[in-house]
Amino acid sequence: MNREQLLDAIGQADEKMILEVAQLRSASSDDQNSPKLYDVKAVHRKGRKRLVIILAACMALALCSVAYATGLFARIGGILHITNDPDGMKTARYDLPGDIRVPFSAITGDVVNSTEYMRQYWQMQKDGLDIPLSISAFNYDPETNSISIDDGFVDNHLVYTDNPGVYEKLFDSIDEAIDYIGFTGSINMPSLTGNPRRIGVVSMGIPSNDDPNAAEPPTYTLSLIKLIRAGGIDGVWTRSTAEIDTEASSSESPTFAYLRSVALSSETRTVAGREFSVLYTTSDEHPDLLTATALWQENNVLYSLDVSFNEDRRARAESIMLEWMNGFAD
Amino acid sequence: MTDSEIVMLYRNRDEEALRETMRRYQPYLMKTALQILGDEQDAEECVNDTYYAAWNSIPEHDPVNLPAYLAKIAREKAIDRLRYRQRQKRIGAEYAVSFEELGDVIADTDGAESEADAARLSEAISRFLKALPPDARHLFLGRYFYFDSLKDTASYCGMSESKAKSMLHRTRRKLKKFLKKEGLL
Repeated sequence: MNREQLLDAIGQADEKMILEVAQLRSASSDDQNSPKLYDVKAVHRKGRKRLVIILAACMALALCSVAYATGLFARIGGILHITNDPDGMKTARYDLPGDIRVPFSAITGDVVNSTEYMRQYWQMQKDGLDIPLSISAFNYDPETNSISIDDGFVDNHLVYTDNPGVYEKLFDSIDEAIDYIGFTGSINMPSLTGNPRRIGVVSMGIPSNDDPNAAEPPTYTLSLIKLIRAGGIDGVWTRSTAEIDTEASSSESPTFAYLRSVALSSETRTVAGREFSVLYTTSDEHPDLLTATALWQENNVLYSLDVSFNEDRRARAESIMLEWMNGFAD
Repeated sequence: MTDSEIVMLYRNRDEEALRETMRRYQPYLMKTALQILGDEQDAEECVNDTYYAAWNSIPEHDPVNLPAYLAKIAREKAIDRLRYRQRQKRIGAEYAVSFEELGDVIADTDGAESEADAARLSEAISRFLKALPPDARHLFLGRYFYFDSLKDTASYCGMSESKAKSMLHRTRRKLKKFLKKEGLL
């Protein structure tokens, strides 16, 4: 292989990604002859960056609203909306009925010290060093069109982040991870048969300033904490999360969002007296792979479960999702 | 007229498709080609080649994102033209710098790639790019798809040149590591 072949391969990049950059170029150009490809949405880049990075691996969400509302037959965590965007993408958004951010005093565990690591990461980045952080994505093997079942977190399936304001710590058990967070409320991570092995807590901080050339690292304020458990179960890739936003997180309402151009659809499932929202997506590159994301919110914690599977594993994926939903039963 | 309507004109073999494409995307395609070729006349010829290629290919390909589809063609045509020029020792400045930077990722070998290898490499690159944080991806594509200068790329990505340089360096290192693990290096 040579550089020309590498450049040719870059030239075959996904058109949506090329368009993203075209929009940035177009929006920033002061050349009157430069085309405005689309009406570029006003996006606060820093906020957007933070949002995208923390949710980098797969489905994304985000939020900031309240507890649950009581429906006629079941409690409702939030309402899922899907809209068609002018650029051909679809956006899903999970709206909650109020503000679920918690005060700093509600977080009492060692996770509060993660902001010190963020300062160290900032310095490492300034010094041109790699930041030792990765966030897991599902493990799909395009050669065999199947999902790995060995729970192997192969490096080349991990998603990296360059943001020094993100820190991840791994644990051997859910209990240890919950202790590390020290949330004064309750966190419920329903157990799943098959016991996915990878458990981590990702925390995110907001820097006191954005100057990359500052003499000293900025101070970081903890804005989001996310407990993640992931792994393969019988050929189905799973990733369940519990997310807590602090009072430092964005007060903009909500959220979500995950952009997909194909087959984005949703449904609601009533299980254990709760109405869960479920989002279904496929991707252009792996059209045979379906990902279902179940969403729930309770007691100021946003919960999600991603299951990614091929058609022949649908029944197993369904049973995993049901097991997770039943885990919230009173 | 929307992009979908323009594509429909192509499919109906209506020459209005070309006029509408030129009206809407000529500056964008010119900028894309000019960034690589650095010569207006060459860029204009390249964009004309792009229209011709789109006219011939769209009934078969049915693009979802028309401007990105056209940009890919324009880029390919410009690089082909550049390689021809390269053999004559005339190359565009930004292309040359970007090309040089990619030496971090790969040292040139004379190993010829099969079509299957090229497809595998393209697939791997797409997967790598999708896994990158958006800022790093925008920066990488700005530099190595559009061949924009470091200054311009950093500007529209909303960061300083030094940060952009550092991020590009790290991304190239990650790409090298990724390609090694994929067995492509």
